[in-house]
Amino acid sequence: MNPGYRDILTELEKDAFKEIINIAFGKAAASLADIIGLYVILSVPKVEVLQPDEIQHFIERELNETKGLNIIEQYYMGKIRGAAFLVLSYENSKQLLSLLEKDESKDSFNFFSIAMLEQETVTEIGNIIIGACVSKMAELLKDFVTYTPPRFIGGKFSGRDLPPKLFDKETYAIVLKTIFQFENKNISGFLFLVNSVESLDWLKKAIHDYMQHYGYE
Amino acid sequence: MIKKILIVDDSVVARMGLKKAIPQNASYEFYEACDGASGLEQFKMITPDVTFLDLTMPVMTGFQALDEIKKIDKNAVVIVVTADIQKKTVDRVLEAGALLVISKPPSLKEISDALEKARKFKEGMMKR
Amino acid sequence: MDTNNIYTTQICDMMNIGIVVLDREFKIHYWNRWMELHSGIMRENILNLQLFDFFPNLNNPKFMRNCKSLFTFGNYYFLSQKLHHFIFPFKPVSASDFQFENMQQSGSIFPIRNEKNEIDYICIAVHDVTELVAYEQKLLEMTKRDVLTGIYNRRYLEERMKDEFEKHTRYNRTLSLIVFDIDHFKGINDTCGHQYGDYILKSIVSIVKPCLRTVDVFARYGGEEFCCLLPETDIEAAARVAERLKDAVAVQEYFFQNTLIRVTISLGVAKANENLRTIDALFKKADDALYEAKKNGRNRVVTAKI
Repeated sequence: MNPGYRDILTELEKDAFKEIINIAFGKAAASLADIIGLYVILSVPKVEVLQPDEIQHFIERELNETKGLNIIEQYYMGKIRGAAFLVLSYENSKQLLSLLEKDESKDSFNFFSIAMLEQETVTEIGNIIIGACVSKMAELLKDFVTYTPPRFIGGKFSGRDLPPKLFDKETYAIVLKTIFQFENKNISGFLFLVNSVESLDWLKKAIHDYMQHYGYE
Repeated sequence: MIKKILIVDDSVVARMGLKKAIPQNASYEFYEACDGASGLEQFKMITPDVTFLDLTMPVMTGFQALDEIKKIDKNAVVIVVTADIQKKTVDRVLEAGALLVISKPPSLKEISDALEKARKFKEGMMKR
Repeated sequence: MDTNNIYTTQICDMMNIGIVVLDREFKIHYWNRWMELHSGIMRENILNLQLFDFFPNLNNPKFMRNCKSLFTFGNYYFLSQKLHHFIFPFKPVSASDFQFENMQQSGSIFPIRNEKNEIDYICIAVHDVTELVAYEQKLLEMTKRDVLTGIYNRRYLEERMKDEFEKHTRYNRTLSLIVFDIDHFKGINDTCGHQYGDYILKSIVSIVKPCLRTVDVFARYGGEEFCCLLPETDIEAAARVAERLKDAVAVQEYFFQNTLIRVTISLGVAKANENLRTIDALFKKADDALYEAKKNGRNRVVTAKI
């Protein structure tokens, strides 16, 4: 791996990509507010170019959490491809469910264990949030993606949760991180998008096309 | 009369894009800042006629910067340009005193309409 | 939507999956043969009509929310059988699936785009997983049951106790517990032999079981120790149940080699309240009450003080 890999994107390209992500998440939040009925507060997204073996450490450091986590994972495949991780602490998961439960009937809990109901509901919400952010990002890059079913992981984030074939030694990863907060300020989580950069040329072109389309160059 | 324009946004590309979208025939003076705090400093120093403000910024967010600017001059013309176009955000920002909200990425028409509205507002203020 | 391609039509009709295509108004644009077979509705009779007119069960916030998300974001919606049981209420296919009133289904819904990449339709793919689920449940049942008596075993009891206790703390539902054991059981085993002892165990279970409701959890957690978990039950009601159990067992006559034997049980009753932090604390309270019952002469019920 050549040591200059962190410069695979120029500063300007990185800035443009960050702006694209910012807009994608902004649009996603607006639509989400409409669909799940919750107001989302977005943070400035963080963009890092990493080597595959640095990903796990980066995410763990950002999470800074040794206690229990609920993680929803989904892989997406288009010209841009990768893995999305929505991370909520146990406390936040329960609070999120109570925010949503107001429109669901309470009868369902008689049929399932609470843990299962929580798990399925968090997974469903995760599917929608991840879908919102990834699809808007793809849309701005003039791409569209297909998804794997969302997977629920409880406990900690592990390197084994990254898709095996996606990150071999020769590819880089562009990791995006954003913190989202629901209107009740106590509920927040992280969204990580780990993009594999197999098709770097395509990504550069997509970024430049975007900048040209909006008259930036 | 609009001469001095301040653009506050943490993205170089966004600032560049906004400058390019502003009609080139007028003799505007452009000033830039890359976060809310330095944006506020610039505002105090140069007292721009129009401020274009992003919301999601590090150090000090656009919301906070807007409040501070309005404290200094309650008639300051601030146009919010943001990716976050949720209804609640828009309402909040207008209530805090922004003249209008434009969603990113801004189109040429949206920018020129916004400047037109800013011009009319300033003329209205002058007549008082 | 042009669905007249001769090859794709055959493929869609031959597949052992239900395929339904909907537009933004939830009007039906495609209904494959699997759907015709299982719904009894021919495609001519449902095309261009509203989905909810035929299947009102789908007109709920969750389904709408997820479909809206699909049209907006182009993501997928996965419906697991575990959570939803079924999407379309159809009869199960084979007679052996009589344990389910409806065919068990899992499904996915995904977006369909036009040449401009805009999302015009969504497609629901439905799988019949009844057989799989029936088998899974059978296996699961086996792991929950005590082999000798057929009631629940300790493993399952502990699972349910945790769950019911959580419902109690989260939603403030009342929860009571009865623990009981057979008095002098060791003596019976020594005098009459283990085979007779097993018979007594099975007999006691058959006397106790009808006195409990289907929502109660009746389990064997030790050799001669049993537990009844009573959700939505107050302590007075639980104590009454315990008295009934004690009397029902005491009145039973057993004969071993022409000798009359009377078997009795001792019971401890406790209720979950704010002072008990864990399910183990509740269990200990009931167990302590049982110990009291034994100490005070057996064949009696002791109710723990709140």
